[in-house]
Amino acid sequence: MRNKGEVGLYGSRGVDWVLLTLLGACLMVIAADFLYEKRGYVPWEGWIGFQGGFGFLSGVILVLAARGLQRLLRRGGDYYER
Amino acid sequence: MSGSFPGIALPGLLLVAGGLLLPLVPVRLRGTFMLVLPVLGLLQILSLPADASWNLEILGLTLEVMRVDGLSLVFGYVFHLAAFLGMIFSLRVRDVGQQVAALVYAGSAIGAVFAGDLLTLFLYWELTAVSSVFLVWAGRDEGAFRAGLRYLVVQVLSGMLLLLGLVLHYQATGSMEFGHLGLTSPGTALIFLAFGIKCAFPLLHAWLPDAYPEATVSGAVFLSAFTTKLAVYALARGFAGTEALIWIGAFMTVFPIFYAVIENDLRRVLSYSLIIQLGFMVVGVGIGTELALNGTAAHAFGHVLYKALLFMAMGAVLHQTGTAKASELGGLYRSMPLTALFCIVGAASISAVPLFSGFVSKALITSATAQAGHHAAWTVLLFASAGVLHYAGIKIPYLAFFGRNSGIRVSEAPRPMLIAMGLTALLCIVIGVRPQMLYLILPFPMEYSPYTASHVIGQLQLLLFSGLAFVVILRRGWFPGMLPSTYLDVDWIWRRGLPRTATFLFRAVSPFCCRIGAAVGSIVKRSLYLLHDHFGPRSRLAGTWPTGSMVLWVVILLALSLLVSYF
Repeated sequence: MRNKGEVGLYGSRGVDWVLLTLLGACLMVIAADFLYEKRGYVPWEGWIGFQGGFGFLSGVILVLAARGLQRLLRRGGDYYER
Repeated sequence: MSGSFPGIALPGLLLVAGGLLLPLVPVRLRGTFMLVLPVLGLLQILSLPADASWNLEILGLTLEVMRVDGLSLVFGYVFHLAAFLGMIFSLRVRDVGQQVAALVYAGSAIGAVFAGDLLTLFLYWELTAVSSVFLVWAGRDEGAFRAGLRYLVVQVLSGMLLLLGLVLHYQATGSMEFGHLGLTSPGTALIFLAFGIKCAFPLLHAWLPDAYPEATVSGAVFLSAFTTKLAVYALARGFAGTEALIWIGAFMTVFPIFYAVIENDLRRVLSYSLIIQLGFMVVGVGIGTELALNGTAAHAFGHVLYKALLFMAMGAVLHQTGTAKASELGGLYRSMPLTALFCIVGAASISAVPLFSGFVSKALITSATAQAGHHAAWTVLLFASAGVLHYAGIKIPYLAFFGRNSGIRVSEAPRPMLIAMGLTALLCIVIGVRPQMLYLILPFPMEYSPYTASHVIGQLQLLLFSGLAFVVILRRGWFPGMLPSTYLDVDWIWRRGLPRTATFLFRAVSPFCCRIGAAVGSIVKRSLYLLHDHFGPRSRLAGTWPTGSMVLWVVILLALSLLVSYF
């Protein structure tokens, strides 16, 4: 639930358009993985789409963990002045 | 270089001396004077012969007050560049104290990277601490004053540890040379800790997000450039290849991300993001190979520029709107389109988007980490690279310039600020497009191209999918709300924990203290009465004694002393 004064990030107009564009771009860079010989010093670096999947999961995990931490660590703006 | 004392020709001293003389310069000439100093300083180090050094004998100690090599030069170049760009940005500042502090601070940081011995390093190290605190205090409010005090205590503590460490190191080895030290003795361990404090190691980092957002608009630009990069330089010089640094650095790249995502004050977000980027550099130092150290130097170079650019953009927003809080901003691209554009360039650089500076410098560190076989650390760096897009790449430009319309209508940033941001943004792009220009000035020669299909496509995948996650998170309403808040960090220990513990202990102990005090008072009182009984005006000893009895007592005492002397 949103608190009073919270920034209305949710459901901004134009997000659908951005989402579709991003999805298209993501598909293109995954497809690009098939066009060259993918190698790396780290074994999993050579997997098709590894960086993409890792980037998406990292983003989701990061934000969910940050939300949890926000509840734990958040105090009033004047916490140290009180 | 040897012979006569080079004086002002020592790198950095020109800026320090210029800063101290600045109040004597007529006001209308001060802007030009401040811009000329870093240019002259840069020309000065460009004219120094390779491997130049200058030794000084003091009290039997041989001090190498100047040493020029590849590592010191790359930091010297970027520090001069940062000083020049910062001076342009702050041309409208009319506070001479702030200008003096900025010049002395920049000069002392430059002097430190050319110091060849630990004592010279210590002197410059302390000068950076003392001069930079005035950039925080120049905020001139209660919050800035208190944050400045905490900052100063931590910085001076770092200097004291360095001093103690160098004394122990000198006692153990008889050498003051600032070369590779390694974690080999208690002395070097203290020096490592001193560097770690200034480099914002985990648990020692809280001074940075505490003080930097309290600094003035231009003060934060200078602060972001020098202190922490000086520490990175010092670690690269003294502790390259220390494996502990790989894990310290990896941890530094991860834990501040969560703070950066939830923090409302956008200059504090940048402060946490600064620690994350330092983590990349520290990992490079820990790996310690030539490629990794080149990566650290390159990333420090690029980071000084794009972080300064981001602090400039947020400073311009603060300057124009009076706030840098995400909860109060939004939609500013209409009022400040150029600042928005420069902020996006900074965001693209820090996010390591191909063709921007972060891409070509971060690539060296991640490649070196992978080549050295540190797969777990490499994966952690990949996580941090994905995360950086959320808090710096998208969050800062989105919340300040796009997102909801805050209704704030202001004019564009002043021209000097725009020029400084424009030049810095241009450098970020030039480095990204022509990385070999940066690679040429790195400490070790190398053949490296960041623009391989594998690297470019891999990085694009990471960023695009991370961006996709951001948009999905927005659609789902999962992104943490931006609220005027304080988030607890390690500094809670000394800002709230220790004072409360001390109060609690005082209250708990005070009843016992009262009883003990009463008992001691009673004993003292009795003793005084006893003395009064024997020596007071009415006592036996105070009476008038006959001369004969006095002589008798004297004879008895003399006889006793005679007997004692025989035995």
